[in-house]
Amino acid sequence: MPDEIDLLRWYLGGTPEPDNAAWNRARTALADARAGEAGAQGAPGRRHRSRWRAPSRRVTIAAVVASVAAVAVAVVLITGVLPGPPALTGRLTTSWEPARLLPGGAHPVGAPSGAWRLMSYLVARGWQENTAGPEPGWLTCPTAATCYVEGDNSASPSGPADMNSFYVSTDGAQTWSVLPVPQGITFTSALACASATDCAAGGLYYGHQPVYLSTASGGHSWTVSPVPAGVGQISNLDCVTAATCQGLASVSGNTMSPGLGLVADMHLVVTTDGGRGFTVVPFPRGESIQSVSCPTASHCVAVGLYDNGDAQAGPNLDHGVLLTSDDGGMTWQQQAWPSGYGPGPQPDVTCADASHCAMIGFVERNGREGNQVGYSSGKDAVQYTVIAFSSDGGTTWTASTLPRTIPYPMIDALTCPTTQTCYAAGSDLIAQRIGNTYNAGSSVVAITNDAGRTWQRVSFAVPAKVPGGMHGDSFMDIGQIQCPQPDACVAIGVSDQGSTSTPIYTNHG
Amino acid sequence: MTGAIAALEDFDAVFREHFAPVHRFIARRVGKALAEDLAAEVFVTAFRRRAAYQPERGSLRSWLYGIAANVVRGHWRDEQQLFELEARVARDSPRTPAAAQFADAADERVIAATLAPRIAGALAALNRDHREVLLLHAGAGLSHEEIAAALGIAQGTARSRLSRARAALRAQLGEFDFEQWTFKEQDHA
Repeated sequence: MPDEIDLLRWYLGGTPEPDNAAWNRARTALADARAGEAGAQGAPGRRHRSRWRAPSRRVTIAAVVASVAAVAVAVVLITGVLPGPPALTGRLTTSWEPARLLPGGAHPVGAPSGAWRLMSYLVARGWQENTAGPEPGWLTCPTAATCYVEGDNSASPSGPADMNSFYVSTDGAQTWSVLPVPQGITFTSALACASATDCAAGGLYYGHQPVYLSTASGGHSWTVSPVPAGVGQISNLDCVTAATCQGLASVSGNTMSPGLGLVADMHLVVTTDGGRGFTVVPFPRGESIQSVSCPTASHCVAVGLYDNGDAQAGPNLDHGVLLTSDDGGMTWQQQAWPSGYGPGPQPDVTCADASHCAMIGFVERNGREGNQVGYSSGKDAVQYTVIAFSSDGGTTWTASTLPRTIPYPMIDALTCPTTQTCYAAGSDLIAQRIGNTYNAGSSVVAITNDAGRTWQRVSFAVPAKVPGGMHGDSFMDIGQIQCPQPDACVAIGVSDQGSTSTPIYTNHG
Repeated sequence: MTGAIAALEDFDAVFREHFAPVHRFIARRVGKALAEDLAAEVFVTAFRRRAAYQPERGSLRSWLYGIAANVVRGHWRDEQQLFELEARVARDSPRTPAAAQFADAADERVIAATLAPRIAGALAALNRDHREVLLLHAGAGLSHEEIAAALGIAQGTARSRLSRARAALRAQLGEFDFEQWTFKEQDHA
């Protein structure tokens, strides 16, 4: 007699086969991974986009002869003529380049001055959109007027990100211009700025060589500096002065856990002379730091996950690593991870000064969560983020409670313009309708003016209809927020796949 | 395929042989759109970590499904909501999209329209561990030993977890007649 397994097999048996798009997506990703390995060994760069082509159905003698000849020529070229990708052996400074104003695409939503509103949308042809993360850009606003976005200019909607576009606004995100990026450069970290124009970032040179990028002119001119051998891509950077920056770099580049995008084997990289020299400080083995904040040249706080090195088990999301340093990251003190929440899949810490810090924590528990569109129930079905605060430099933490109007927040970004005022941005299971689209979730922004004791949900207008180039899903999540002043914030949405632009919100201007 | 995956050519064979079933396993849990990215991620991860694969710890496919299970674990909300939605949408319509997708003949559509939402609802009601072992066993065809290797748990744990999961599924299915493939309460209706 059949049993429940037979029933289940019948139920699962009709699952469709992967279509061509799925095969091609995987083949492309594998080709890129393979090219990456080759690039690491000195062969052509990993960012080269090779595509698998479907075999021709018709085979002729001419085609065979042509193929053999082409292969022979290719072998000769690869082995003897074509050089490998350029390698940077010394510092490189680009000449000053003017900015090019983006064509007008802004259709601001009417809202009272001072209220949050959709300011405009940043247009980028071929922009890589991603509904599962903070792409399509890294936002940095060193002042209320000046903001930068490092964006992805990938030609493929499903290919790996190519963060090689650079946008600047000098009027509080009202208008945007494009600045050229040094040839062969892709960004690997958000920009870190010590002033409106003194900024730095991690990057890759021709897709294979990790470099340190710095500018003293707000991106009109760049200096590209090689990092020491063995230092991987810089993925997180904090600059207290134009010359002194600390960042995280992965030695191996391995992801800690597929599906989560967490990188293992992080080291701290410190420069005190604008990228001429670097000090590399390893973290304890198995402690994979994902975020570090250094509000002063001496004090730093770092959070991360315990990495068991097992791609199948994945890291521990419920109990994290918490470290503090009082010597600029040269040595670290282990602190007890706070109880009640874990680091989750996107740990982040930010400090307003050497005493006051905030971090994003993560809770998952059994139960049921949902809205009028759908719900989840069962083991660990309830998942949300919490914001925790420290007033002793990151040693002890107190979790805060977001208002009931944000029941299941997934906070992507946290920024604290003062010791008491912080903004948190992300998404929640709050259904919303835009035009004919009924979304299961919506963007949320919350503000506290008393270091997390109380929060208010910020309301902002979303368009009645989806503007051109966007999808309704683009308004379901805010991936980045920057508030250089308590009353001057800029946030950018997470655009839906297929959209060619991403929404920008502000509460000023 | 056995042995460490050292050569690139070996990995081509691994990809050709295992991509479709791994994709199906993921698509059934999180939907086709998300599966495209996640299945690719599984094989990129496997490729990058191919030197770490140890045949003595389990079969190659158990290793791949272990990575796949971990990938899906990061999308728990999507998986849960897919099953919930399928259970609810299917109940609302006598000829559900899922039923039409999985059945060819008219009688099968009738069966599917009746059973599919109940099974989806039963799966949605299981806890994550139980659902995972059931889908690895019934969907991917993994043995107890392979499930243990995939999830990094002891074989005894895999066996008992699967046993409890089957019992939980039976309990969720209620008065199901496994000979007639009908729910007894519907016969009375």
